[in-house]
Amino acid sequence: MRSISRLLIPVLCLAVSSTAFAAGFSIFEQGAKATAMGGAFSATADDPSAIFYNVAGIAQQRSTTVMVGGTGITFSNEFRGDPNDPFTSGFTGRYNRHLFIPPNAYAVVPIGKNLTVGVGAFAAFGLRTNWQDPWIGRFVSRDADLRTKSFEPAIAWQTDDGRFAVGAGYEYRESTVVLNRNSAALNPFNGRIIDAANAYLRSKKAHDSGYNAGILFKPGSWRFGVSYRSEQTMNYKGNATFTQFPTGNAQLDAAIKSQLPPNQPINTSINFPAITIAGIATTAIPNWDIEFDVSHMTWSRFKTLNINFETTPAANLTRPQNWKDSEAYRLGANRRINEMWDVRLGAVYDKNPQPTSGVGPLLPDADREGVSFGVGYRKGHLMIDATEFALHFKTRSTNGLSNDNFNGTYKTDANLIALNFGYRF
Amino acid sequence: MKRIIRIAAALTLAALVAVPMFAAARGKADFTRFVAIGDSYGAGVESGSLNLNHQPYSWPAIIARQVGLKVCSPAASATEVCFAEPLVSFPGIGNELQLVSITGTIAPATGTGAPIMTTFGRPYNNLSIPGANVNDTITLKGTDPATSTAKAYAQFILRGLGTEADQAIGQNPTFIAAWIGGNDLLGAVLAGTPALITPTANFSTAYNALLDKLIAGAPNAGIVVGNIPTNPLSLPYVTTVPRVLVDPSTRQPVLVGGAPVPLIADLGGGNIGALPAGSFVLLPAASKIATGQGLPPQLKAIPPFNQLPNTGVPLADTDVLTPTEVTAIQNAAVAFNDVITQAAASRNIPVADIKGLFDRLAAGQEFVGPLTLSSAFVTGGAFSLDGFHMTDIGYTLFANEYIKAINRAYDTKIPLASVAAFLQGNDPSQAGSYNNLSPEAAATILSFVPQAPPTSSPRRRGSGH
Repeated sequence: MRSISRLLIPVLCLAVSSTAFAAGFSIFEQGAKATAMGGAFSATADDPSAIFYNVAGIAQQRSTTVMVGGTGITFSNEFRGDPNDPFTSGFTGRYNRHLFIPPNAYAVVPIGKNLTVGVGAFAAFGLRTNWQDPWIGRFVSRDADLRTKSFEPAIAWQTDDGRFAVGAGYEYRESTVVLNRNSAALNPFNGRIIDAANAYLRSKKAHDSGYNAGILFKPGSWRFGVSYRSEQTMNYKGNATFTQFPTGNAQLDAAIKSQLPPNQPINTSINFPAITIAGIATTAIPNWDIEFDVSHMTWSRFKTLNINFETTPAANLTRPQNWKDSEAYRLGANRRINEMWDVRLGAVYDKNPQPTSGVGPLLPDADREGVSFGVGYRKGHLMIDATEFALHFKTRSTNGLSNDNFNGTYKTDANLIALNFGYRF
Repeated sequence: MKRIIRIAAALTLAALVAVPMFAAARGKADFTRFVAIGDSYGAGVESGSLNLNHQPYSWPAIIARQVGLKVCSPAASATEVCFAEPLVSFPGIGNELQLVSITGTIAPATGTGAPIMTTFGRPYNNLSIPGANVNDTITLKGTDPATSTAKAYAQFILRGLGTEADQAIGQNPTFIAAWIGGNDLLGAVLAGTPALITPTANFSTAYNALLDKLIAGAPNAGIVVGNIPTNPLSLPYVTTVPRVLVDPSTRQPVLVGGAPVPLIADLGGGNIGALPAGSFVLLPAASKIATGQGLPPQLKAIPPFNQLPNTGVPLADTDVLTPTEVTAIQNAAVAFNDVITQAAASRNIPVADIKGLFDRLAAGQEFVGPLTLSSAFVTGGAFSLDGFHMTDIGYTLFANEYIKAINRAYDTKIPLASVAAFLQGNDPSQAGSYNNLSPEAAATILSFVPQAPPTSSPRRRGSGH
């Protein structure tokens, strides 16, 4: 008879991490006022978060100002297996509850009449998809955690009349990534499907740098802003750890052990997109400030995800992603109530760049619709901005096209609460 | 002019779309009284055995669960609404083959299995008789002496209450699923001789008679049938043992004088010769080859083959399929499928594409979640240790082909059965994976998982103070 241990190899082939990160890992909420205006802020850019939205905007800020805050993000979601998929049919899943708080901090200091320097720290990209056990999608992804931190010194200059400003910054970005999934195999002794092993990939800190630049033009009651943040590429190095799960059969366990790759160094790289934002704003209606922005992200850079195993290159993975560039449309309004109070409204339509075949447990992206509401309070040196932002992901189905052969429908909603405190010297 | 043509073309297309290509399927997809007609696949035979560990995963039982029925427990009463099967205690009729060692040793489980629902007070919903061919479904009543596989099983499944078809329509069924015809072909495959193939005319007569009888007896019932595999190579029984001599430790062909050594066999009518390309050695011959049988006589002079007792003795005609025999079997299968397709189409009965499933398995291209299932013996996941019956997973895929056919024909949305039901759950963090299973399915799965000894409850411990 055949030697089974030899035959198990293709079955076991520990596909370690197959799917993509997604478009959805950009975080556009980097200031409570901007968030309240649906992120339509590049032609306003009148608080220190301009370092993120349009660096030229710090030129118009003629007082030394510090601003710190964060955006608390929670998700509620549901995966529902496709009744036409012979694996996911009848199964459901959801994320573990997490509160994510990407923080932000900015300071701007004017120098003379025309110049302002500033510094900002923020997390413009991040992702966590941590599925609640037991999770039927664990063979694709149990948990994915991508984090970034950016630090940016910036400078901007405006004309004497303040009608025209330009700015630029240098962004240093750090990132880590964790991927966690199980691998499946058939147990020939009982005809059952086993969790052969867990593969846990953890990177060390990777970093890259880029620049951003912006212009702001304010000819009268209309304002125009354009800003650009360059693409970056993170080259991660890390380690893969494989943990075997006993099956209750010593012979099978020995066979799996003999085929399990050793723990080893890995490397991978992820292309982060460039971001271009163009905005137009008007104060034509008294006490109202209304802005419309279009932002564009070059997600088409995300063509493949390769994970290289340095000890056993035979296990290397190359997965096509084939994202498309994507746009978001942002509309915001700020209504000045009095010297102390502003109220704000916003709406967002954010198109996703992920092809249907790539939608999966690692990142089930979808077109998003959001509405925001916020208030601003000023008294003396103090500024407080608070925002509630409800973001609905359109129901996204893989329509039987999943690259991971894991079909189903994803429903996701996010709630964001942004809070910033500022102090104007 | 061009524009007119385009408009005309569009209108024609619209007309085509608007007119249904086929008449609606007969009856309704109402599973209140669901019965199944079939053979060993329908009965849930696995690893050479019919027993209650696998009967709940026969393809009819899987369909029953997906439409909301539960499989009757052995203690069920005749009036209970459930899908009844003639359950047999473990290790079954035909002791279940079990994998003993990872190197491929297979042995039957010990003990004696017996039918445990022989006094069940109504006909079984699952009337499948292992060994039955098409004609058996309208002739066997369970009253014959056990002179064949089908007659032996019919004794306790049909119990003299009538034929499969009689007992099906006797239940006033709302839906009938049938898969029959495999044994009109399989006997020839298993015995390595096309002589056992049912003549196509007889197959056609029997198949049409069966459908006529079902329709006459249950004119309002929905009906679904299935086609049969046309490729004998989709069975590990046929493809596992190589045609040439291999080194069992490396599984590579043994080279003598630089060339592989074809096995020798009776190629038909006592004509002994080397197996030509396109021949297949059937699974049971593996143990013969281990004794030297099938090795050509010239190896008698070469160690270590000279130490095997039967080196030089040809394999029997029944141990092999020659290219001519393969062609004859394939031709018959294609002819049978023509009969099935026409018989079903003329009666507005949908046909499940079992052929397609077997073709994908043979190609190693049945992708299910994280698994790629194939026809490979032991490791492919779809076929059990006897080499031609399926596994729980295999029957799930089989049932899904039926569900797809029903959904297409009746515009229903019956969910496919998930093979994730067969996760062993050996990752402790994934405990609770069985939540989606029916109780009897969960019980069967849990029977494979070592159970912790019961611990005494805290209250009892407390009372000891």
